[in-house]
Amino acid sequence: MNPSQQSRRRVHRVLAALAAGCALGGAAAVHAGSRDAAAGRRPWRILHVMSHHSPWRWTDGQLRGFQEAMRDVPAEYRVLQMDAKRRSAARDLERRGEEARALIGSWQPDLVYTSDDEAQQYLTRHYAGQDLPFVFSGVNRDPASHGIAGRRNIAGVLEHEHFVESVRLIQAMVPGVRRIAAVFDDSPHWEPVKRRMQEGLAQLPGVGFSAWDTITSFEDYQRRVLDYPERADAIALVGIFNFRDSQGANVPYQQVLRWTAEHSRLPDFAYWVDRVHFGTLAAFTVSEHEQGLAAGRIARAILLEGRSPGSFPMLPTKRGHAAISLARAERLGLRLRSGLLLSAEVIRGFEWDS
Amino acid sequence: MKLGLRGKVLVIATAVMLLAMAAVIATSAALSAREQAKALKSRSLAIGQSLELQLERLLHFGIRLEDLLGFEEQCREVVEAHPGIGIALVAARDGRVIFHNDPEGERSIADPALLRAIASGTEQTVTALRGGEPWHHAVTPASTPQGEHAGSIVIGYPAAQVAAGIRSMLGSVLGVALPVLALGLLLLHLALRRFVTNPLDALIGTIETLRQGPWQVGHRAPAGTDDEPGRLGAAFNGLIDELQATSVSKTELEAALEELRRVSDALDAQKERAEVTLRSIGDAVLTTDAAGRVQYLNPAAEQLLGCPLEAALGRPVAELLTLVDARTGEPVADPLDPAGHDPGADEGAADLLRHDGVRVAVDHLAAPMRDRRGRLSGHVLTLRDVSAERSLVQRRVWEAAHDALTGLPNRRRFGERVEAALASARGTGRQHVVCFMDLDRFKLVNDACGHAAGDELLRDVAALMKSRVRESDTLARLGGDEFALLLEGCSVERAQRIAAELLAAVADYRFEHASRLFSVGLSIGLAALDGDSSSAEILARADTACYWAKEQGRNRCCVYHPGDGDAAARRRESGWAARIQSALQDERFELHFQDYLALGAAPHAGGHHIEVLLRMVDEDGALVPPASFIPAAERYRLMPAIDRWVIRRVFAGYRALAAERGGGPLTCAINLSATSLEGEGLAGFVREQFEAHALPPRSICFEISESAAVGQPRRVGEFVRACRELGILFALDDVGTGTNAFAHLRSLTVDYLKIDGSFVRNMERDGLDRAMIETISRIGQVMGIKTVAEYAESGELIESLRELGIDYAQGYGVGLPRPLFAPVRAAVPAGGERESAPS
Repeated sequence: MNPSQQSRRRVHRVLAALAAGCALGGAAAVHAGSRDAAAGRRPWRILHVMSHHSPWRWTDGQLRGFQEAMRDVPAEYRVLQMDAKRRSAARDLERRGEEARALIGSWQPDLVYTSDDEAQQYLTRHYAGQDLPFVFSGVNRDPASHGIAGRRNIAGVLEHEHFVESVRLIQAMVPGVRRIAAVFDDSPHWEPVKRRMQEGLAQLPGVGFSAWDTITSFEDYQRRVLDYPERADAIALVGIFNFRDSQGANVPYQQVLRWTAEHSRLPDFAYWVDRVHFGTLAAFTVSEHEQGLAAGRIARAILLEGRSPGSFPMLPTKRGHAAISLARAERLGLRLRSGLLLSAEVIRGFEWDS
Repeated sequence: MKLGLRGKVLVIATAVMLLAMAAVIATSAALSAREQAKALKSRSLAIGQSLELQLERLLHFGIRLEDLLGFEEQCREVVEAHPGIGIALVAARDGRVIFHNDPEGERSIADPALLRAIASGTEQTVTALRGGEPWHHAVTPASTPQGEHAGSIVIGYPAAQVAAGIRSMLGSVLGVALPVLALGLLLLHLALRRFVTNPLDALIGTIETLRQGPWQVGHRAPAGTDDEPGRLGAAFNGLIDELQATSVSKTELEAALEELRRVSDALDAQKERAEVTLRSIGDAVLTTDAAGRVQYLNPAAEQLLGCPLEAALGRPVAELLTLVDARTGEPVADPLDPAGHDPGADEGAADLLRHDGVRVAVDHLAAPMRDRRGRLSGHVLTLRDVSAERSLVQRRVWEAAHDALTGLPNRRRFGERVEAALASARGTGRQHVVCFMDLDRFKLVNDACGHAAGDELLRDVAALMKSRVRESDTLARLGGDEFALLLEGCSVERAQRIAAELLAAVADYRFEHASRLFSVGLSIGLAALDGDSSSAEILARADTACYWAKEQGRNRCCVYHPGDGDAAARRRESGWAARIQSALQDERFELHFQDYLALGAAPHAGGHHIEVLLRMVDEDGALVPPASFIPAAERYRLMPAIDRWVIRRVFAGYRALAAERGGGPLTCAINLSATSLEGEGLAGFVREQFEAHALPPRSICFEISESAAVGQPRRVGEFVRACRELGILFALDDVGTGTNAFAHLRSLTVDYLKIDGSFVRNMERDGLDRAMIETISRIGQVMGIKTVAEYAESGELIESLRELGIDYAQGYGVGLPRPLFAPVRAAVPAGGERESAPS
């Protein structure tokens, strides 16, 4: 299979997943195979509440991983999108949480699968200690901050960013990177990320944060990015969702990233492959598929083996994978070694060009 | 090498298996080589394709081949990850090497074939030389996203790797095949042994057993399987069954053989025992056949006959030996005839005359041997060498009848002869006479010279007397110094003449020992045999007559006449011992004395000197002279008690005796017997008594006979020295009767020499006696010893003695014996009584 074939296959898989997500999002019941039906039990009812939206690689990838782990378990899914990226106001999120609880009450699922932090904040914590089992993935914050740690009916997988691996990836692409400028918006859920990044420096001798900025306006961001070459070798683009424009409107992160790719002269990195599609040079991403796969295995053990959710420790996934924006690299004038390109997910162009 | 069935099968199987293995391995090697080459080619192409995918992926990123950076790392990883792959490179279509796993590798492709393959843009394999070695190359083209041929991936490996793979494969195959072969052979070996050779060995064993022991027909071969060995065993067993059915049963055969074996063993054991016995016994055993020809000699027989068995076999017995009667010397008619032997006392009393002339005393016994039907099959002759036993018996018989010292018949044999003579006298009236002879002064020789000398004297006297009697007379030694002579067919008168000859011969005989000469005398008593007396009575009569002869003064012959009163009275001598003991208990003894007469100027200038004399009072109050009881007292060892009684009485009464004689010096002479001197403790007793009565020196003088002094010089010397310390004097009595007593005078200190009365009595008629007295006087003078002459019975004799220089005289001429103390009985006149020393 040549690369063109691989690429085509990968595109087909993505399209198929999207189609499936759409189908689920339409609350259409999907029956399991005739073999399971013949077993005489109704399919498990699984409600998936995603903090963000679909189609999006991060949320869709988690659901695919979950379903892969449950692929031989007869189940019917319903998906509820909280769309926290685009509608991040608290009242919007609260309303979505109420809708989800209403759906739980009417549909009576056997298990609720949630992804990312907002779902925990506005839904899961309301069921802490009850009988309905909850399984989550993609949670950055400490589960205790959501009030879901140590509860007997809640289990899940934490999303811990691969800070150390991301720095080493950027160093492989741009040898000599020592000083890093870290960028955060004012969202509170970056606090644990910040803490883990500080802790990760212990594994990176000679590397330090030359800037540690929490930025609220896009204008300030632009100014700082342009100034970073004076004092930094690379930029860690962590929190970029809550920048406001001069009118106070939320600047979409895609726009933030495009501006960065077009104006920044420093190599930058993030923790999510989605950013690379929008011009971030590299990311050692948390694998959404891995997150979903681990959550699905927990759900499978709860439903089929009768294990208590409280018996599963809440741990992050380990592996992740590298993603490189070849277009950004060319724009920065970087020649990447063949081995690096072959071991990473290479994004040839910018998302806005496709 | 000789192989068994199993070995042959194993060799064949090994060969077959090796051939099969060789074929399989060869085929496998060929196939493997082909597959190896194919696999390497396929592998190389696959590796090339993997690199092609990576390369095309990079090209699809829009990067030109020449702009790629670091793809040599992928080439290097491929080579490192796949052993055997030597080269991985990316070449442009024109043959330029863009990436190479080896930094020092070639920069362009030189081999035309390989170059063509690269340029062709097709996937193929090319063999090309590299460093002189053939290498296989897998060429995989890589395309741009637009499908243009951008270059080719070349994966190379040495052609020798195929051969190495084959060798490795062969090594692995052999590593497995050889143990499998060994295991297969082992299993085959076990199977052969279990199913083939073991059954065959068992069958062979059965056959061998039957061949070595045909009676063991019960043995069967194993036939428990249905294969060929099993059927072979069954067929063989069937054959043996038929054989057994037509033969003697095993049980009978075994029983018969066992009985035969038992009997044979018993016979062997019996034969062995018999031979061992015959070899080990000391008796000579000889067996013959029925005709008397020798068949066997045991070792003792060989030695006795002086003929080895080999030389004796088959010879008649008479040629080997002759048996003669031990007494008559007459040949035994047939030594093998048991009927010729009297099983009584005479059995076997024969001598064996060997063919070499040697004569051996033997006991012999013959016995016939018969076969089962009672027929004579031979003889067994047993001979025992009894030379030693017979000689010993003869010696014992002789010793029982003879005196070992002199060789004369002893008392027993003499008694038998006397009995025979008595029988003759009773039957024929012939006269026979018995002489009882006793040597005089033999004891002196015995004591002075020792028993050996005494024995020699006895042998000389016996030989002397033997030479003086007839051959038909019987001269016997009865014991000690007593002899007896049986004169058969002899009158008393002739016997007296013979006795006189014997007396003369013995009187003339001188015994020399250690340069000393001794003379002995003989006292003979004759008694004629009469038919009414026993031999003991006759011998007792002769003894009595002999005793009388001694009483008469010895060296004479007396004849016993029946009714002789004196002689009969003396037969009471045997009762003296009891009478003496009774007298001692009753103290029925009296002491008398006789004065010494000093022949010098003043008769009593030196004081009074008396000799104490002993008398015994019998139960009737009559005095018994010493000559009557002292011999018996000496014979029965009563003299020590009597002497002590005398000493005690004299010592106790000395003061009174001295007072009776005016209080002057008094010397009391006391006779001591030889037996008292022999005993222990006399010196101590004397000292005790002497000190108890506080006697003065020179108050006591002990008289010791010359024979006692000479016979026990050491003991007497010690006694004399002990007594002389007390001041006691000593006198040597009976001087002159011995011939050599003077030699002891140097060592035995005495004060007086008392000349034997026999010299004094005849000194007027016999010049020799006078000369003896002179000699003794002279010796006394020389040695400073006073001399005393006994038996001074007349004034003339006293004067003669004075002339001869004798110091003292004693005898009836000086004074008669008188009681020393108050008598224990009414005084008895001593008239006519002759005094003699008590010992």
